[in-house]
Amino acid sequence: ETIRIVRGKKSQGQKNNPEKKTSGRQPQRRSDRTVMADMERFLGQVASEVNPWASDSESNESGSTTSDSTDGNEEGVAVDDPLNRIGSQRASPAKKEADAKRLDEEHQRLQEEKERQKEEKPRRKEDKKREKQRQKRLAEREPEDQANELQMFGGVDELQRWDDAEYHMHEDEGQGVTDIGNALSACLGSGILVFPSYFRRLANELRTIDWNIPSSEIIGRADAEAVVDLTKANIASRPPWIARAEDIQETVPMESQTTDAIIGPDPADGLQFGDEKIAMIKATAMTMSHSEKLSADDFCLKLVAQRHKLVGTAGPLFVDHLYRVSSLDGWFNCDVVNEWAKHLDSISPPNTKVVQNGFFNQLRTNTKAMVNDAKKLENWWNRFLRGTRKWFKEHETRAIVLPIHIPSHWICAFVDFDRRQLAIFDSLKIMPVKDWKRSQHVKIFELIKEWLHRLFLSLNSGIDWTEWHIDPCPENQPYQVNFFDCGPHTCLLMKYLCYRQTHDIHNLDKFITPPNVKDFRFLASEDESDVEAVSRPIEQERKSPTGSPLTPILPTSPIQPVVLLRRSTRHKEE
Amino acid sequence: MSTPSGEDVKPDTSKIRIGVQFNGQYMHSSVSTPLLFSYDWTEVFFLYKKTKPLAKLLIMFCERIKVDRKNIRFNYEGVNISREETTAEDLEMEDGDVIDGQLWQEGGSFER
Repeated sequence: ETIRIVRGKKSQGQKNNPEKKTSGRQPQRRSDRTVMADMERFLGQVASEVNPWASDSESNESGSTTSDSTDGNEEGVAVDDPLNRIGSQRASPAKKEADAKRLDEEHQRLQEEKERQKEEKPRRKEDKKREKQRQKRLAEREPEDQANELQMFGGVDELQRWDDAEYHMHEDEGQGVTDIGNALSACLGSGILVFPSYFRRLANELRTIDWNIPSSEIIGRADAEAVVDLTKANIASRPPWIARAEDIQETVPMESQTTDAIIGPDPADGLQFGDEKIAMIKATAMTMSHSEKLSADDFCLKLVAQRHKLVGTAGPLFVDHLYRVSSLDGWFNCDVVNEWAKHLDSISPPNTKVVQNGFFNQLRTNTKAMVNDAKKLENWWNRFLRGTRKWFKEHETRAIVLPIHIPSHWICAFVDFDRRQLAIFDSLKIMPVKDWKRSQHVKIFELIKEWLHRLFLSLNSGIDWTEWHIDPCPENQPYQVNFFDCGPHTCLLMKYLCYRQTHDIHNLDKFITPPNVKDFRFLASEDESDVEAVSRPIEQERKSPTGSPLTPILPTSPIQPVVLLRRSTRHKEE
Repeated sequence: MSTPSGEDVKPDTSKIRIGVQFNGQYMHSSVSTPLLFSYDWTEVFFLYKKTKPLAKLLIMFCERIKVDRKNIRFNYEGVNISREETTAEDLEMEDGDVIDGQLWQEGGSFER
């Protein structure tokens, strides 16, 4: 029922604030009397209006009698345009003069500005000259003055430290370089070390270091052709993929004392770090392809497979991926993480499962897309759980490791059925919140919970989440120091979490440190040796200390599911 | 159809329905040239032989939605289909199963 308003403005159809909303509003209602009055006024105006065309013909009659009658379009004939005439009639002479004055003033002002700009240009040139002279003077100053200025920044000595020729490394720096070098040599395996061009300034230091590598030689200039020629010559006598330093010395004219030439090309040559390395790899690729009839790209796959230990067989890794992995600030791709996960899954103990990146991606995208279609979603869940039941066994799988990709970031989720822990390891320390419902990864937690809940339902059992410890920021978690190391962080985390059921791994931050993460880029060790070096295997009967929240009591027998949801409901129905 | 010799050609029972779906989300090619990518949810079903390599089907799907094959990774039950020789039999696929497509992902630090 509509309410009729009797008094006030609203009775006439006007709203409170007519300017607020114009569209969709009803026009103002007007009474018949006002409409009629307006109409009469309009008609009166029309009647009193002078017809311009009528007056036109009258004025033209006097002129047109003398001249021949034409269209009026020829030259010299004044065409009387009514529109022009109306305009001229309206503008009063006083106003015209005022307009003309104003235009003149503006014109003058513009001209003055132009002149000013013209005057300023030569001034700028003079300024430039002065600056050049000042710089010259600065360059020609005496060194004492320079030293006085430099003292502001910590003195001359500190700045001279950065000279290319006389650079002195700190001991730790030297150690780091040797570590990386050794890793590289082991990675390439052929006893050849390739150094990036920015190590050139370390020539003096590198000469003194004992490299601890048998039959190794430092090669800087990655001459692809030279290496290829050299190995071509030795194919007959030796296996082609081993290019020894002796052979290089035989074929390539190189003296071991000229270390300047050995370490790296000039940056001016145009070769960058990545190009140099890839050139080197491609060179060896050529030699391999001679023997096994492979293309260079195929070889790269194989090289990655053998040396980097990321892949067992020729997978989908290409030169780009190798570059991503081996360059110090490269971002990891989904392929790299997937291959690593596949590899870990093959070597991990049978009670842990490492899924690939696509697993969680599938969960997230499908549930998001089918929110509105309940029947379709249920159908999809059934299919998805059928897939997970292939590898998930209720009493055998004790842990699941999930690498997860969120926009331009890698994180690692971990489900531990023994300790009843669901944790997410995020290497970026942004907001350490202990309550998982307030953390930034709430949706991930909820999705994993829903998945596990449905999985256990399909196995005719259930999960009691009240006994579980859901942890958005686990203790002793390693954090990245920069903005590009989250890929190797997750890869290393996946590896150590794999062995968490069999080994005593609690303080992750002690053995995932920035140098270790850097090493991972060059040499990814696949064995348990790393894990065993750090921690000892757990004895089955021994109970872990009960103090810390991360290590609750380990059950001796596999946990029986606590709540049997389906069965209990059935009993109630009966 | 019947051949002139009279033997009836058997209907091909080895074909199954395979769905491929793709939901483009985001892509950052690199730090220097960040790219944003968005694509609507698409799902296409193909009749395909069990013993035929899946690579051809995936290329067909990419041509249909006009996205470069290099930019998409395909998963079945969370496992990446990396090899070109993989068939539906290898993956133990059944009729009406769906392969998930995703853009290739990259991660280093945080969302920019």
